[in-house]
Amino acid sequence: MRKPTVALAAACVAAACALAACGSSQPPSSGGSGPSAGASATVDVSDADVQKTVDKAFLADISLGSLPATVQETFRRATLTLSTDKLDKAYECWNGASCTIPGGGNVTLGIADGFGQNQWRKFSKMEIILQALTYPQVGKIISTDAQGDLAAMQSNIRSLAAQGAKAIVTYDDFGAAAVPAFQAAAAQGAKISSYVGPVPGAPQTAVQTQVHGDTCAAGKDMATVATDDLKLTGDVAIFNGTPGNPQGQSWNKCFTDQLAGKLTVGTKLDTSWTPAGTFQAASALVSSGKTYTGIFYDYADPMPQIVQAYEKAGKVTPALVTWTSNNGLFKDWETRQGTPKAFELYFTNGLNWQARVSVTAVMDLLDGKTVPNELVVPQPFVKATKGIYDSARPDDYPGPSVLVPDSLIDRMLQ
Amino acid sequence: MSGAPHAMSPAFARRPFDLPGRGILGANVALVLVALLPLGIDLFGRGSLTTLTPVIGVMVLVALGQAFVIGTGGIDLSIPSTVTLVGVVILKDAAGRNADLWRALALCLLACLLIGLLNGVLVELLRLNALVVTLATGQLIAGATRMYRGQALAVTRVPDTLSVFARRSVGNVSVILLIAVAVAVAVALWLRYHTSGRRLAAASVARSAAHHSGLAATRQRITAWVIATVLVGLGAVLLAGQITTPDLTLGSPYLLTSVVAVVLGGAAIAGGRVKVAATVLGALFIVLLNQVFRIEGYSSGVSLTVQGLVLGVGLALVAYTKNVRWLSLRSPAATADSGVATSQE
Repeated sequence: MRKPTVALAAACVAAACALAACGSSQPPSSGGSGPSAGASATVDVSDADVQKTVDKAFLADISLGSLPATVQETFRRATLTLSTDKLDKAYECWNGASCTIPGGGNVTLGIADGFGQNQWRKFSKMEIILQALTYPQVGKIISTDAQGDLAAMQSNIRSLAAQGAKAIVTYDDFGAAAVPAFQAAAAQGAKISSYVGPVPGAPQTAVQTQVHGDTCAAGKDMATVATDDLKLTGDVAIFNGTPGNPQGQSWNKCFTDQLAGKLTVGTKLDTSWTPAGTFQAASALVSSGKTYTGIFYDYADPMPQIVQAYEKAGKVTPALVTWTSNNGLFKDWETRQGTPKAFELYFTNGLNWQARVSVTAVMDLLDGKTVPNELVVPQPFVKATKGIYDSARPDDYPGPSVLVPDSLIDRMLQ
Repeated sequence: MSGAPHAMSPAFARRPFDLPGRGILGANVALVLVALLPLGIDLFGRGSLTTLTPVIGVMVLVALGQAFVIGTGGIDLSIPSTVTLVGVVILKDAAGRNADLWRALALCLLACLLIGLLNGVLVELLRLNALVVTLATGQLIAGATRMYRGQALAVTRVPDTLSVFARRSVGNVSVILLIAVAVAVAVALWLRYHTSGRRLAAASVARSAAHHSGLAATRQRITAWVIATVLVGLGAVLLAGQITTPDLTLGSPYLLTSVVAVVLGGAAIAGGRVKVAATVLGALFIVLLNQVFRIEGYSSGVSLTVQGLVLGVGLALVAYTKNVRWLSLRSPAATADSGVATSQE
């Protein structure tokens, strides 16, 4: 379902990209005859098929043409059907820390994940690998996981560069603290792109391209959902992750500003993005004696804890609006429809596919194309509808926007 | 001949009722009063009781585990990893099947026994530093947990039998808290009245004295480590059931808080008798304090800062007020016997 804010957001993104000259006028390279670095393969897929991929990724009506050129190219490649051999190779690469692609070129792709342990990160890793396998010039993939340790992250980035990774994609959990390592890797010739989590203050010499949603626009969209779609009144609550994280600060402010007195932010609570932290934050809400008509959060995975806390307290769960998707949350929502425990739910797509954009961005950079420093993608909120829950997938499955083929997902989930 | 109590021989003096953990009890009462009166927080309403009591219950069990270790003069920094491991074992081994829950629980018990034994042997037999040992075993457990868990799980929900049980309440009080209190009472009675418990307590308080008394002090102290890890494991099982979808962050909140809870209970970091009731009150205080901060809208940064302060102040108070007597509350005979009474709080 398309939200009224989606078109506006998409238009803003398109305008911003135009201003930043991100819509490269260069057509995709028609090379690709050989697997050497710098040669891009032509992708032969119809725009209609690509649009279907875009629809699946955004879970909303976003037109392919409204997206930045690099993002369009990403979805073209994501639409390709990979051979069984390549899917086998993808699974092998996903399972290990390093893999060589038979017949691949001389580009080594490095994955630098700050905390690669949860299901969302695992699926993002597979998205990266699948996207990389559409480039014949990629001959090797090395993945690293810092397990939440900054020193390990810095060491991993330097190690990737030392192992010859000329293309590095990263989920940076450490913000600017990892920038010196990126800078060192870039000095060795690596092209680096971050996805989903922005790296605030990182110069283009360190991180050439950052792929992310517009956090402020997302905050404003959440406010619009609250006032126009849900028509909430009274107090609402904001849940954040780790205290003071820049992403939270950005959308919190824009959310509050956009409310413009129509609603009041009654409280902001930190959850560390963990189930236990979220349960305790929800416990504080139900214990406070105040009524909160909505809870706004930037991570869907721990949200079932909110439902549990409210129901234990004998209260109906307030409207939930969140970034990302979570199958367990969908289950809670769907099983309560038509009962007195029913609640409203708005969410965004899982965002995992942004990792694919990072791959295409670094490959384009290696190909000598111009890629803007910031690739801002729309992050539309959609209303939960019946059928969103997938009973064949685990609770922490990141939802229907995952672009990994079903057959491969079945193999991934042991 | 005088019948006055103070004239009796100390050997025959009847020790008056000794309220356990008076300092932390007073702190809890003060905190509850502040929450209820000036702040107007309904701590005894359904919303608070149903959602707070499971958190308190888990904290009590984990803190009791930490108390056994601190009682030996050690510290267990592997607790978060152990908690996470137990959650992952239940997820992976049972794979959501109720029929396989018991096997998963048996595996958890085995894992806890092995971890406790490993920590105990390294610290007590090889006399290695507890802090360094448990830091290392914590890393070892964390690594093993990730390898055991694998890349991705097809089922990330614990069996319904466990989650339904862990989410159950009696009245508005979570069954987790009731279990924790029952365990605490059993532990307190065992330590005080059973020979094996008294041996373990004696070996924890004074290793050399226990050794010279023929108590096999090292074995007793290793037993303390094993019991500690089993208690932590029990807390982790119930936590996994309550959370339902435990992930690799399950144990993260219990590194500092478990130590704070024990210290608040008046435990000496250098070792000493396990103060069960005081530890329970310490766990209650730390959970309540966090809850009050959250309800009042303070960030978790403030909460962490206060926890650090409480830990520091608590340690200082334990160190400098060991000989403070509650004279006004006690008879002279009891005062004369206060050295024993204090150690048995």
